[in-house]
Amino acid sequence: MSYALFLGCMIPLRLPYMETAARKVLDLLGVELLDMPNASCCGDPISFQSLDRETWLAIAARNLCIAEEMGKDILTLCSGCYETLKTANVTLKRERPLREEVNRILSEVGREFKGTIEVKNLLEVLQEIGAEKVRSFVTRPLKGLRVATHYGCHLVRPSDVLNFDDPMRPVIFDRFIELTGAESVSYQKKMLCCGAGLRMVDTKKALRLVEMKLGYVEEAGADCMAVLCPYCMLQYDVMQRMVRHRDGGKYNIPVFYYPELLCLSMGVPPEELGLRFHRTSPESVLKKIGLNSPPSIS
Amino acid sequence: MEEMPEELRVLIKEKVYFCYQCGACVGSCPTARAIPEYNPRKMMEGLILGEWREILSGDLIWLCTLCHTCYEVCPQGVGISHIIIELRNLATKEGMAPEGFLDSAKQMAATGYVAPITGAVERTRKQLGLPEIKVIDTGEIKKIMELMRFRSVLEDESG
Ligand code: SF4
Ligand code: SF4
Repeated sequence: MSYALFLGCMIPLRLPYMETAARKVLDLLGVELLDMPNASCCGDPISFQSLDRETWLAIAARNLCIAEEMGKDILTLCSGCYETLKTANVTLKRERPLREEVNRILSEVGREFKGTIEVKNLLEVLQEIGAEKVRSFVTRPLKGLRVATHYGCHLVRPSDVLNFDDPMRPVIFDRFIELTGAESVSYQKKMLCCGAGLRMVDTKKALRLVEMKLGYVEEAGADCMAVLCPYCMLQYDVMQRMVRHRDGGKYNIPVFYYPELLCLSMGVPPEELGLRFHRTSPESVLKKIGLNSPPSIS
Repeated sequence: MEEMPEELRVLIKEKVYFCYQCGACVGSCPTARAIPEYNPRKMMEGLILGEWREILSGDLIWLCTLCHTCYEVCPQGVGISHIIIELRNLATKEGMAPEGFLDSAKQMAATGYVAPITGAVERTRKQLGLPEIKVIDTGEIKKIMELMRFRSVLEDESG
């Protein structure tokens, strides 16, 4: 099993520890990850789409062409990349005139969108491997750990294009959390956006959304949050630190990228993951699952 | 901008007019939760009542997170998030896009990524046992932006 790995920008350039965890878990599961030569940023679903939707689609299509040339489906590690690349893939397959327009542009750079591959998020790839097979790798079940899943908007919406899970009441991520032996707790306003899209214009107000979410997570008595997207990670892990500093110590909720939890459940030593780069210490969770915590940088 | 742009006229006629002002979009909107003066229902009302210029040149359209919740919950299929994208595209053509949005496009033209490649991240990647960041040949990206008449957005770049 092999995929064209689409890394994007945020994970490799801002939160590379997320890449470490994803690569490790996929390696354990026997998935081969192939580099995409000259792939750029996906085209960012917020900034680029807002400035000019057609340019956004064309840049995404160029990235799709690279995987088409490799003859491989794309695996995205970031939900922003997932929305962009999947939207472009589905839309250009569906809408002929738009596809012709985009191909006219692409022909000038020697490429052509053919519509021969699929774009998958990490959970889809795990589904393809098979949940039972993934579970069979779990050697250190995260028994007793109460996890609040945050799906993130761009994984499930707009649903007519992404068609991955229910857009307002999704379940797939929760099942994958439970497969590690942890418990997925329900909490209020589970689908509330992390607010990353607001950061570009008003970071302070984006902070309000972070604070609200953390409040609901704490109220539910969760030990930690789990996310699937670097933007959500930045919001809840890094911005939580800001909330904490301003509120004098309120909220100390560790946040994990799902592959990190999977790695821990599969016996990967915590020091092999970049947990020390988290800005909200994961120590309480490691203790709860009986592991020593690596030294923190914060 | 005197005349209503054609794209907007079509969108209002085919989508916005179906809004029956139920407010479901407002109830589920994260930005409305964080910023009370942001109200997608009122935005649709304004478009129906012909206040498109004020809306297009105002700050509010840039506060949407594009979470697409309104798109999913609207009983009338108005598709607000897509209308906001169209409004932002039009405002961009008029030179009204906020700095933060334009910055990422400039960064993209320069490096192919929207985040900068810093020495610090290179070091971190090494510590994490990750491969080096590949420098991208941005020729194709720049050409695509140019051909898409995206230059107006990148004026500073092209000089
Ligand atoms: S949910 Fe739809 S119909 Fe209701 S106010 Fe919002 S846009 Fe109008
Ligand atoms: S897409 Fe924008 S307007 Fe719609 S619910 Fe999300 S933030 Fe609100």
